[in-house]
Amino acid sequence: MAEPPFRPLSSPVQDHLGQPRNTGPWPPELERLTPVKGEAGSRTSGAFVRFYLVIEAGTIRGVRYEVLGGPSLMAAASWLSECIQDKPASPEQVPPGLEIARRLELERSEHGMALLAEDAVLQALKQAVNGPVSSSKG
Amino acid sequence: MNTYSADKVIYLDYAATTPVDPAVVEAMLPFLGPEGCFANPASVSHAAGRSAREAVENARAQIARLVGAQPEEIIFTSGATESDNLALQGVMHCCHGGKGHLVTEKCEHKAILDTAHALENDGHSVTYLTPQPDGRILPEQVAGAIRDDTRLVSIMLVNNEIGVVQDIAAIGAECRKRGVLFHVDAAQGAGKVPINLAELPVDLMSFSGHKLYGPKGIGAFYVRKSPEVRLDACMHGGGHERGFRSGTLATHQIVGMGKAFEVARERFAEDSAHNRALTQRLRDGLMKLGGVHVNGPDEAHRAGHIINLSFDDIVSDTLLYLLTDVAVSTGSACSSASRAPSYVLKAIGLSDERARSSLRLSVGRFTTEQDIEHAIEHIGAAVTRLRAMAPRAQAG
Repeated sequence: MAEPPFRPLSSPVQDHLGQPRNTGPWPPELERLTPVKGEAGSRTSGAFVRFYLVIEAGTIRGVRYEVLGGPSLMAAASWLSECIQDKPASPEQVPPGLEIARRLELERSEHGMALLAEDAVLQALKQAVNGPVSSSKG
Repeated sequence: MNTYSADKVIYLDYAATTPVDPAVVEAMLPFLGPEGCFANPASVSHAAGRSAREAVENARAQIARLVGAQPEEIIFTSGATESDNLALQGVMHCCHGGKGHLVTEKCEHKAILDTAHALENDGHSVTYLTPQPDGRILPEQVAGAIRDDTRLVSIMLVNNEIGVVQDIAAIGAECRKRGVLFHVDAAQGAGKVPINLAELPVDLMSFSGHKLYGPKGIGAFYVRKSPEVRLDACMHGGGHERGFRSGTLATHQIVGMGKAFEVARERFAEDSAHNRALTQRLRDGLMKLGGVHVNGPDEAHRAGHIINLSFDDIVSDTLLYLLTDVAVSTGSACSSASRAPSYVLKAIGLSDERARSSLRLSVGRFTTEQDIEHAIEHIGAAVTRLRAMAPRAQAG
């Protein structure tokens, strides 16, 4: 069976795939707070990410995410979660997808995955301002 | 540079290729090097060439014995891909003249599908049958697709992704009733499923050396002698192999393939039982994870060495990157931007999500029970890790 080229992962992607940041249960000090949620992509397309942000006094105190997708999307979610942790909860503080892609050394064909991660975080921040949006089933 | 080491990686991709059996290596060596039997088998004017010729004919007989053919019905090619091309192009372009019709199915190997597409570009028409959800093509589907201008039906014996075994006896009977030639790609099936061409209504059959513990770069092509099958050669230049395939014969490759087929015939029962026991253990071990599904055929219709499993809540492309100690395949035509899932799994009706979460696992003669237990452990750990990060279903 002809296999497609198996692209080697960049070092940053390997790092985040091997040691994903901000996973596991919330720290005890954040459990009392209700996270806002944002998501992007779809399960049927094989690329879906959902971010949960705990925001207190205008600062992103905690980040968690769920992801169904390839290494690029998983790495983008992990990298972005680390980047926005303890930053002001405003869209201006969210690196654009192309910056995420650049920092992760993603191939051009994978840039969309970084945009998904950005979109999911921006949606969560919008929820923080506007209130809950309807959930998708992913 | 990544260096493969057999000590460190559990190889479960026997459907892609197999290691050359040590007995095959031993058989091939005397045909290399200045002290070996390196002469051109076509140089029958001297003893060296005649020795090489004798080795070729011996290998031809070895291959014929495994599949119940006459030695003179076996042609050597560079591989099953070339044999498939020779079958389809050779028949469709043959001296019958004009454009004709080919029947095949959507899950065939690309060697068939891409050749079929090329024939369509040449003005021939092709019907691609849709398989049943378990991957089988029913004889009545073939019968219903045959037209007055149908020249050839091509259906593979064992599917390389899901392992489904087609009923080529019944399909061939439908072709024979209607006077249509029947070709079978047996690259995955030879040595795994019984083949007796003396009794099967098959006119053309493709074989691969490297799928059966032989060397890469060599294949064979069965062309029935009686009733005679007419087809045009694709390669010209000397008229070798009964005029079907010109080119100097690679004696060492041919000897290797012959020996591989001989060993496969001797070990058929043992290898078959070994393969099936291992894939069943793989299936049972991984099913314990929950959310694991067998794709394609049931046990009765599955070749023992291949099993295709889907794992809920993961994307198998990512799983592959985590499985540094296990060599498996996803079977997906992964264009990164589109993430196209496997065309075989889509053809049998799987959703995109399930197709993208699939792994093809294939075992062979040198796979051990310990390999299987380690693979279950490694795959299980990687799946569990990915599922821990997977989206939960949302209420409301």
